[in-house]
Amino acid sequence: MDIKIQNLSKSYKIFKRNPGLKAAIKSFIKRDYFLFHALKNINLKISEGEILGILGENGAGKTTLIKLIIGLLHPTNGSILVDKYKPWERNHDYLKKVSVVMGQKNQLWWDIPASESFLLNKHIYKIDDKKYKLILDELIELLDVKDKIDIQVRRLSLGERMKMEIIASLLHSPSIVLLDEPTLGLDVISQSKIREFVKFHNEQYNTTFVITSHYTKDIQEMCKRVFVLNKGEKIYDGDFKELINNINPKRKLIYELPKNFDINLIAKISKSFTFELNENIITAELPEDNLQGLLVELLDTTPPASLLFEDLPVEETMRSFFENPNKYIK
Amino acid sequence: MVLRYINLWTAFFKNSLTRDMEFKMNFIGDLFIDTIFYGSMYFFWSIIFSYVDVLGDFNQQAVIIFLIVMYLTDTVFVFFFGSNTFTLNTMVVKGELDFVLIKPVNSQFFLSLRYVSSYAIVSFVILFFLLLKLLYDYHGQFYFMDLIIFIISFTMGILIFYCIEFIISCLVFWYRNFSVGGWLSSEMTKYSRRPDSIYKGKFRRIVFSVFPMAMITSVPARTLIFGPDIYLLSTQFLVTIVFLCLTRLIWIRGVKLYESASS
Repeated sequence: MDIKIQNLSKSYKIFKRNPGLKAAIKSFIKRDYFLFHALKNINLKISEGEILGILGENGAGKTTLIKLIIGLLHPTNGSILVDKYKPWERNHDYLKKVSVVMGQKNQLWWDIPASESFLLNKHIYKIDDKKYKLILDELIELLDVKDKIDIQVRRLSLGERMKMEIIASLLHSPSIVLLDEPTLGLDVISQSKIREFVKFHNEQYNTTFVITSHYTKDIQEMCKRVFVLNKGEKIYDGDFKELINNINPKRKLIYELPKNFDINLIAKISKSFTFELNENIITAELPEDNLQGLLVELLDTTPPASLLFEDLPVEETMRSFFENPNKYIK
Repeated sequence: MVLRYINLWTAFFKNSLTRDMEFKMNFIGDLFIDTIFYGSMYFFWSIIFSYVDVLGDFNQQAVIIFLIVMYLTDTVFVFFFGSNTFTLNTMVVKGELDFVLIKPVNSQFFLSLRYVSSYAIVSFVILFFLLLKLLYDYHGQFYFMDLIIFIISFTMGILIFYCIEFIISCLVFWYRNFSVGGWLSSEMTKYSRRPDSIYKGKFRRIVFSVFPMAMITSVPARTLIFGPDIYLLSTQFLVTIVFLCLTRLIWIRGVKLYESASS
């Protein structure tokens, strides 16, 4: 099922008031409303089997977009079409094909084991016994929670709860899964497990995933394509690596010279390339082309004891991007 | 379709029972609170009847039957809807309605019936047998046809009760936070807890029509005490249909205004 979004806008009527009792009384009598534009004229197409990452700062409109796709909100303008369905009509056939996991909201009953909530979902989605057992067993195995499903949800750790939420949302084998901050607050191991799981599920079942996350690493590891929002507007839609290269085209080279290297040869290269020499280790942060040039020169003069390429931290790159997105987007 | 929803409700019931049994003291506590509530209402009417012999056309025995019908109404309402409708305000304010709306089932059905107060079964069984005994004592025999008509009227009374509670709860969609809804419906429901004979003139007409509180308990109780009244029963049927349609309309309109509080 493809997702087609055209000229989509969503606005909320919000009232504002100044702090203090006087302002509260004034607001009680007469409220000053303003229109908050959560999303402005969004166009987006998501193909079946794709993993799309939605990036943006707080309040950029990521969750609003997810809620519009799942059908929780009605668009103010524009349209969303998922296959033949308009999500906000909440057609039952459509709802059987989609699912959402919200990092900060629970669908599981708090006081009983997750297995009971799964059983309830089995009835809600009309999953037959055989298929239910098969899917549940597979999900339990993949997410490694066999010994946790019969424990009350309130006694589980945050990571375990998130895994249970994911199981609950995948039991009915949806074609589209919307993950809103699925790794929020999780430890590194749990984050990694969820990322691996998403990639596996996508490859195995061609499930479409739309993911929002504050952790750029989530997006980097799971999504080839990203859709970047800034204050409700699209500022980028395309390959994530390309975006990173646009923002920060530099890569890092760590070149370990042999102990008996010739300093004069290195001094000669330093006239053409910028790098640091610390004892016998050269560290250079340069755009890809320059880095290749430096590497060729170094290899010609002094073979390395060891060498290493590193991508610069994506989190920092994205931070500098959001500070001034116009600088990087043509 | 009907079978699908019966199966679904059965799943809700099993799930709720499992939850209720997690906390033994809550289960016992709820029964205890019910007993106190029933006792206090009985005590109130006993005091009234220590000063008067009749209230309109209700004598003391008739009022006790009315009370049991009222308790039964309350118990059945709590069993099916009690823990659901009044939580709507919190769900809308916190954005927890999301997981109700995205399930492939009728959202009003899901919201209204997803939690079954299983402990109410015990009260129901006790009250039902008590009612049968009181009826036998009152009439000296059983009128089975009246009992069947009573069950139909009683069901309509429960539905009217649900509609009023539900409509009040739905106001949260328009007011963003309507936490006084619980108090409002509780105050309104009090008018259904008294025999209709105490209401006179215009107000009596109101409680039998636009503010149909007398339809909740008095009409079913009257069927048992005085026999079926075709005029009252057909009015009750009409009011039930109108209120059910109104409920549906308000729910559909309200959900369109739902903003799903931020993540």
